[in-house]
Amino acid sequence: MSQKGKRLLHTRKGWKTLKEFFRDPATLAKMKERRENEFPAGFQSPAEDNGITMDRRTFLALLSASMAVTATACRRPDYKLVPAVKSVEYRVPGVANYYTTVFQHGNVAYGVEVKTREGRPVHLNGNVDHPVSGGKSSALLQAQLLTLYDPDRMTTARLNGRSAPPKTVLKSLIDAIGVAAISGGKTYFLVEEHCSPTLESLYQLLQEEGIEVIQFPGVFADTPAAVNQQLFGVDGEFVPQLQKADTILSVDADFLGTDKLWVYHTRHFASGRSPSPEHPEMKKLLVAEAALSLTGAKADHRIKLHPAQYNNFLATVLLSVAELTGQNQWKTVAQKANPSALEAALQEQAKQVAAALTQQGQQGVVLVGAHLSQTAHALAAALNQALGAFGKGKVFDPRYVLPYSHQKQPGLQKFLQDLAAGNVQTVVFLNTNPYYYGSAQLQELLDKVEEKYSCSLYYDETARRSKGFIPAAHFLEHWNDAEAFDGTLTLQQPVIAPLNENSIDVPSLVFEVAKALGKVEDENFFAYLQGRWEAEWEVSEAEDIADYFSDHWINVLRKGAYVPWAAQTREVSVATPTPEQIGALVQSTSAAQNLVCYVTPDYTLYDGKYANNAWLLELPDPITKVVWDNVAAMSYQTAKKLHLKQEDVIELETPRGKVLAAVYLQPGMADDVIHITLGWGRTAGGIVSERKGSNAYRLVNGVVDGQTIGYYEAKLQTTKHRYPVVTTQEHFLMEGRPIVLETTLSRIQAGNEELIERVEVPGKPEDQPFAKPPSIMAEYEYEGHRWAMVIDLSKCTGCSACIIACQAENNVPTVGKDEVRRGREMHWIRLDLYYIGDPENPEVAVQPMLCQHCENAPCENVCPVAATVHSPEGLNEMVYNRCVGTRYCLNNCPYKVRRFNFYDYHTETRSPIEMVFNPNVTVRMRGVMEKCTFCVQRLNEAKWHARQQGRDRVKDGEAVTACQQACPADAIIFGDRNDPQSRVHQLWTSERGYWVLEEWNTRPQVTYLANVRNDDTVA
Amino acid sequence: MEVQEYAGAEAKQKRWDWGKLREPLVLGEPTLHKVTADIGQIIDRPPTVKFWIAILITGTLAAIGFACIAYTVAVGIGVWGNNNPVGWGWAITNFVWWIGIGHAGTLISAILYLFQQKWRTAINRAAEAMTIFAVMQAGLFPLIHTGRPWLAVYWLFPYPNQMQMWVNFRSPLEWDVFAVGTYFTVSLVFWYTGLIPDFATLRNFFRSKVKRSVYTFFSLGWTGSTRAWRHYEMAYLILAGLSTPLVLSVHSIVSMDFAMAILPGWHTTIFPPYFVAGAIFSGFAMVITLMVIAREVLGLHNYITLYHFDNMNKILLATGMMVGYAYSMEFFIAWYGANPYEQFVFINRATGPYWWAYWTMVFCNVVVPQIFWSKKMRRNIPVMFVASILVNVGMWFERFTIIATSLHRDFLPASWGYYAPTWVEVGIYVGTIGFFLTLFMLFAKYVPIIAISEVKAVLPGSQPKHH
Repeated sequence: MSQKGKRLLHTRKGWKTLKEFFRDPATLAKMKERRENEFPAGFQSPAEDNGITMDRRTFLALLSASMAVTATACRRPDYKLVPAVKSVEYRVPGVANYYTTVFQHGNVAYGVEVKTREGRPVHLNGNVDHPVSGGKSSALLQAQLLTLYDPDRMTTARLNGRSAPPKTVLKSLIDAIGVAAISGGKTYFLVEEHCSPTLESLYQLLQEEGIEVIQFPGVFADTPAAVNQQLFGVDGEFVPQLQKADTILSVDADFLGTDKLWVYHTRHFASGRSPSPEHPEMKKLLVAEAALSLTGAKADHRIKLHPAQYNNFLATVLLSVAELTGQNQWKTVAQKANPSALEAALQEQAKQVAAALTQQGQQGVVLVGAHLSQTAHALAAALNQALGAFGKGKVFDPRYVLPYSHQKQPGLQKFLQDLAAGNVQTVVFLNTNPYYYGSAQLQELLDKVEEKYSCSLYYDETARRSKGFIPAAHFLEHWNDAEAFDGTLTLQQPVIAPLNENSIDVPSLVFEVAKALGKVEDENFFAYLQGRWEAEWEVSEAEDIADYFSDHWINVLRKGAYVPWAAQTREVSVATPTPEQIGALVQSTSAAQNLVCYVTPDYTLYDGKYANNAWLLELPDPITKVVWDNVAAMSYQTAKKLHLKQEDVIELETPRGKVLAAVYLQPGMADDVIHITLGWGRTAGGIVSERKGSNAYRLVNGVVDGQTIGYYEAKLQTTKHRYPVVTTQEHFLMEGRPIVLETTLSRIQAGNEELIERVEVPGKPEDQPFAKPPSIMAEYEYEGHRWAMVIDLSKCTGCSACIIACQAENNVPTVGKDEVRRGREMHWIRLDLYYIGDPENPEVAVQPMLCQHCENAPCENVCPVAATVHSPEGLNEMVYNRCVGTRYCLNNCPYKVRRFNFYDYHTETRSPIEMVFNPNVTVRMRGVMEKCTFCVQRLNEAKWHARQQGRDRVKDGEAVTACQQACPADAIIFGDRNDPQSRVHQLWTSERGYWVLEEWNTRPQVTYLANVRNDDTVA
Repeated sequence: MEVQEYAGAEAKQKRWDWGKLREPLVLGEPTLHKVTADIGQIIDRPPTVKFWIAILITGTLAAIGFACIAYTVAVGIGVWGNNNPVGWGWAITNFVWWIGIGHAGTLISAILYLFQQKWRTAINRAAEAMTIFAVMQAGLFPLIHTGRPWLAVYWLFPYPNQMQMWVNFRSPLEWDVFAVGTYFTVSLVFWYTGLIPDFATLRNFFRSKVKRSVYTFFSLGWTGSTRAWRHYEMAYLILAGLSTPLVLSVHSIVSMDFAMAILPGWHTTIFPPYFVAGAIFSGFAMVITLMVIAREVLGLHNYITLYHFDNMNKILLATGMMVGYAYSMEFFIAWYGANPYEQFVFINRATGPYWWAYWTMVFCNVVVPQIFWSKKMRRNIPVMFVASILVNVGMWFERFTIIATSLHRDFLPASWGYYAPTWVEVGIYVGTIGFFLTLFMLFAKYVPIIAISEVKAVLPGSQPKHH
């Protein structure tokens, strides 16, 4: 269109009449008037009536304008977003899932309940339905979580010193076995102690093919199995049932500490250690030992003995028991062990012990350390026969034998002979580490074997010397099963996919070898495992067993414990040994008290397999309180005699080897005994564990002695060096202060006197021990919950499981040796240890100390920014966000339980350790104070669950703190004081109850129940 | 001299026999102009090499201190020696020490002013400056000793905020914020008010245009009229009245950081008076130390006389005996109160791992001042110089003893520990001394170190005769 045309288009106008078209002025005027005065004259619009002068057009214009405005102001239309849900079934973000599995601590199965969040394990607990753990756990078990996420776990397989695919390494391993078979050389599998029947069946399949499978754990002692074999025909260790014992004599048997079953023993021992006026009975513990152990610390009567006197002591006890019970047949047995060599004072004590053991109506039992001599075990067997502690339904029940706890020495000796003869072609190490804990001789012989393959969590000492290495999967990453001593089976189910795709689990590796040898046909280990379980299910005649195997499988996984038909119907008959049979094992011993070295497993690291674990390394030894090292502990007298001081470095020598160690002066040690623990001094296998402490395995030789723990003749060389030893506690005397209160069983039985000597509190009536003293502050009113804790010192053994449970639950950092030396350890709960009485053989008092959540909290009113405040439920709350770190609260806390982040301790967290953090708990930055919260996140979760179920209160037992949950002794009771049904409410005013530093009117929310010593009839 | 002399002629004419009655406050019978010139020439002459060297040394120390502070803030309190039982260490020791030193200034300027102690005029200016600089050092410590100083710097103040989060008014640390803040503000105003007429005098005295304009600016248009003087003196009197309670309040409240705590060895009612006495003690000791040096270096023998030192040493003797009394009274109450925890703390102080700190304190604070019973010693410059330094060493150890020994072994023996400082803490402490001396030297060089107008007022003949 032309420009002109466009213009025409715009100028075109419409017209109504011709007059308008011709622009007649009159018409236009008329039309204008009509336009302006729309309504005829006289018409009055209602609007005008109201004084509104708006014409219709303006109105319409405004109307349409406002419509337009309204339209634009309208919210955008809703388009519902639909997320592409790719979630796992049964998994709600933010809500924890729990799975059962099992942890094999050597040949002990600990049923485990794993808490997972968003698919990753964040906490381990004992499985309530499992007979061994019974819902409880140990420090070692809790710490497995950190090992799972350990960044030092090797991530690549290696062959001939280079990275290689694991399949290649596995093929090379299988080829090596094949070559060995053809060339007539032998193949050895060195495996760890385990309790998996399925794995054992695979080992047997390998043995059928001529492959030698021998157990080679770091810590073992064959004597119990050897004696049991000779006396009862059982090549294994019996498991004493302490719930059936009333009086226990332990001769160097640390059943509350280093025993593999200590959680089980602690549960049953502690349950009988809390007498009340209504139930005034308790188990009695008598301990004769050389080095102070946790068991000795808990003893009602502790006899300090040189180890050379053990046999004489046991013989004297046996003699007295025989006399007291008129069983003269045991006297000849006792006489063989030379009881008269014991000094008179000890003889007297031995007689008292015998009197206690044979007390009417009290089941006595004698436990001896696994590392003691054959004579000691035979005497103990005689004593238990004499005391009636052996037999079905008794303390020593022949049905209860630790699985696969047979003697290790015969296999090891054969291995050594074959090595020496050059018959060994291939060696496979499955989670075993002979280059760390084997003898020098064994290592030298192993060097000559070329085809060495290793499968372990870490690239450890042995892996570094092996031709092939495959990283092993963590126990939370793979399938397996485990058998408890009573036959209970548990499926070990993986709770996370292997973090390292190159890893292989030990059962699968063994399965692949067996498959390559044509012994199994299943697709994989899982199918093999399931097949075995299905076979068992088929033969089971139990009535309550599921009709379909798939249901059975799920039931077992749900519960985490299953007693198979064979175990339900297990009948074991063992021969009762005659005194002559036992006497044949007893040898005459002299009591020459030379300098000896006592080697035991470590309380925190046990055998060193899990040494690369900062939680365990920083866990203070429950007796010495030493962290990050092991020490050569000895008595003051011994050190004085040898001119040694604390922290002097000595060279300790036994006939098996020598090692450098730092001196630590320890009360309660027998003279001429030097105590050192295994598990330290690693040289490879993770940067955390390396070069910490001394490798005491150099002092022992399991192949020669049949045990790697026990007593060795020692020689000692001083050096000019000193080595800093760091402890979390430096002062062990109560200074006469009423901190750990004690009472006696006889006081409880008498029932007519005050059980404990309460401190005088100004303003509090003496006859009302639980009244509140006056305060100038307004009283709090707790209307809802009122959280409180009761700690029974009589039950607490000081095992330290609570410390690691708390550390795992609350993201408590580890700080390292140097920071602990400066006094900056971060544990929210600590175990204070005090010695009472004679420093040569003191009584020991242990006290868990954590935030007391004081009603009159000294920390609260000094904080300038109100970062620590009192909650309506009685908690002393720490507001991390608000804290500026003046540390005034720390100074003013009489219990010194507050912990300050002197550095950003968490910045050194290496991936994937961050996965260990509990997502419900803040990770604290530097400059912030922290302390026990009574696991406030768990309390809130419990309240949330209660609210979901329409309740406004949490029921007793629903809110459980991490320390309480772990405590094997059940010494920690937590709950709502305002709930009259709660255990805490009922125990709050117990006769044994008291508050630490009560006279300062802090009004703690933690009541301690005084420790009870069983002073009954050692007469 | 071209500068006009105000009343010099009159002063020369009248000769008073005060010498027989009382020692003259100013020696050498200077004219009014000579006073102006004596003080003005310190500022007027160019800085000497010695001055530069001294500034370089103290400035380096200050820089080291600030570097250590930066290191602490960047890495964390972990670089110090503090630990679990001992949450406070050198930082709070230094805080209390510096606050204590800052005490003499207000005491001299306010209380001695109200009591019309005319001998104060020669030393009050320097003492006030010392107060301000010392409080500046002190104020650093509570801030940098916190774990998160970037938050503490404003969270400790009660300011309205959307979270309605207020400070905890029950906390003695919060009281400190107000007490120290008020004290610093009032001291600064008091000091500056006193300086105004002197700045005006110097404004007229200097010939350099730059100097004139600078001092004109700082003299705030002072005319020297009778009316201005009348208002000025009233303002000064009111400020003196305001400052007087602060002398008692600041250190009383600082002492409550300890006294309000539950800790044995801290929780004692004797602390407020004991701390105030100790503060005056250490403050005067620091004034003596600084004045001895300033007198020699600046040649102020005629203005700061042995009479002044004599008086100050008497105060040292008196307050020294007060703290000595407090030390013994603490022991008595520990025994008399029959609180085993408290008894333990005091026995532990004297015989425990920190025995050396305790006995250093007793020697410096109780034994050393006893030499001032002798007038000869009170007027012996080397003796008083050493003694005044020892007193401040002793006062530092007093605070250290209170803090470290009470904390390191408190209620539960299982949590006992030991505390030793690290090089960072030492560096910060040395740094504050360097910073303090730097400020003081700059003050001595560029601000009239003697209150010119006040000294003129105590010259013989400057006051109306009343008899």
